[in-house]
Amino acid sequence: MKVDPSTLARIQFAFTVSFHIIFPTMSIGLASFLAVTEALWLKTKESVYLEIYRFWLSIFAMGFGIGVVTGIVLSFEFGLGFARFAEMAGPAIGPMIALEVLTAFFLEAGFLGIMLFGLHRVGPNLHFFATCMVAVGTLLSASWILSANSWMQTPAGVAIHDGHLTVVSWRDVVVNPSWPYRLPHMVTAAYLTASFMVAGVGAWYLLRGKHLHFARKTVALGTAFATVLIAGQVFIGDILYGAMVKYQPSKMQAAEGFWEEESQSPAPYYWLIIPDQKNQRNRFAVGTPYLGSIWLTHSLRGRVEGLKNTPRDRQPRMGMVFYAFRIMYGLAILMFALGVASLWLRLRGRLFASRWFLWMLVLMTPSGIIATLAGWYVAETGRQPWVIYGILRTVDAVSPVPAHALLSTLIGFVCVYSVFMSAFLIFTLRIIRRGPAEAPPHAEASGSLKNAFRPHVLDSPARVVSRQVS
Amino acid sequence: MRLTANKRKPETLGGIGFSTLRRTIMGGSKDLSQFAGLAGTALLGALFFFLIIGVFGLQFAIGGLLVFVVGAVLISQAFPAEGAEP
Repeated sequence: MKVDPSTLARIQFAFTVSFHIIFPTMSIGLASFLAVTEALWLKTKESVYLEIYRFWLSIFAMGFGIGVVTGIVLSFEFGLGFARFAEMAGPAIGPMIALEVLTAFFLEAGFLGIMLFGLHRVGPNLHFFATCMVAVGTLLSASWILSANSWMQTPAGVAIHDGHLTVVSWRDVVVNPSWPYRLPHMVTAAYLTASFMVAGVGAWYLLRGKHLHFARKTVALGTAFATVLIAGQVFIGDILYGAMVKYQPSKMQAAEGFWEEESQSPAPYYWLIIPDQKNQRNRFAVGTPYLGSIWLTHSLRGRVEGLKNTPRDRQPRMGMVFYAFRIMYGLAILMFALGVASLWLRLRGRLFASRWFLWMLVLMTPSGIIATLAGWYVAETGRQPWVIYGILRTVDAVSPVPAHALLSTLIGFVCVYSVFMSAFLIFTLRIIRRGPAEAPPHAEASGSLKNAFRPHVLDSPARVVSRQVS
Repeated sequence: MRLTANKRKPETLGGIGFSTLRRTIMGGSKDLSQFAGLAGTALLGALFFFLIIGVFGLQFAIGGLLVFVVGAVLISQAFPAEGAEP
């Protein structure tokens, strides 16, 4: 069997980037969650917030480590698997990736050690500052990467002479048309991911009758954040949808499952289709009447544009884009419903007593990760057949690397990443099974630099507790 | 001991388990009110969802988002949910 090298290069990049994005999504969300939790601990002096902080810090640290390692691989893949893309897009994308390292990574590297190991070595306020800086670092990192990827979706600020790309406006490259919408969409997705993870683990403890104080606080915090965030996410998502209809119509045409240049009126909202790309039609479709017009055109009888508006050689594969979009949107609807349900249960004082709700939270623990992955599949498969939309096709961007080299490295990646994922899951489940550790009831010494290295703040938590008891 | 009517156990009245009946009626009304509450919440949630995704226009979407977020924050603060666990 002969396999096309360009297909293998794409599968390899899709696999490595899909694996990678799981961890930064968790890191961005958890870093800010940890900053909020530590702020609450410093403000209220309630030890449960410190317990929550410590518990999620371990999981954050593991995720952060895997995220960094798997992110480095991607930079090499640009050059190795997509050399023509790197050659052409380098002048625009290269500086943004370098700036990510110089701003975000340096900031994170400077403060991560204090955040992970400094709770009893520096004062609480200085430690809180370190946590905030790591959270800011993760946001900066997201900002640069989203800027680079959004430039690939909606390129701007460049001129092309003899096949070579020259930057004419850095401002337009960085603040390209889709970036202002995609950045908040991704950051909110990361925060939602963390909120549902936190709430899900708390719900699990409540159902098992363990660590009840910790569990109640995490469920209360997680559901409160998730409820506010999902409303914002739905709003941002709709604005982004409008922007993508304008800048990348083929993607949204594929995402909605319509082929005709104009759909019937009123348009249904399709939940299930079997697309036939060759004959440009759906073999089978199930949808809700009127809902397509209402949701997509904001009118009762509006018509929706289909994929036939895009020339065949510029069309993405409808099936991938459609189902990725349905998974993301379906999970968003479920999240919204759970957010509303959490408010209702709060009003009735049954947030911790309603077993069906707690089970739903447990089931939704990985929902943020799945929705984020699906969203990235919409973004990347919907951009096809382009790697830089309207400028460079994916097939023209691939390196002239033999198929066997790509296949062997792909197998290598699958093996190594399976070990990473297994280790992450084993250790995370072990942390969850063990539960939160005891935390001292009071905040420790002041966070001033003067106090940072005094011996009494170097005490272990156990000694601090024993001194307070005595 | 002689039982007076008002001291009689409710179960003995007319051969019908009065407390069972009361429980059923009360339980039924509780279920009904719960169902009504749930249905009302679902409708309100759906209305906010349609508002926020801009079905009624951008101004209503922004208004709906603000009302939802402020409402969610106020409910979360006013009802910290320190209830019984399952």
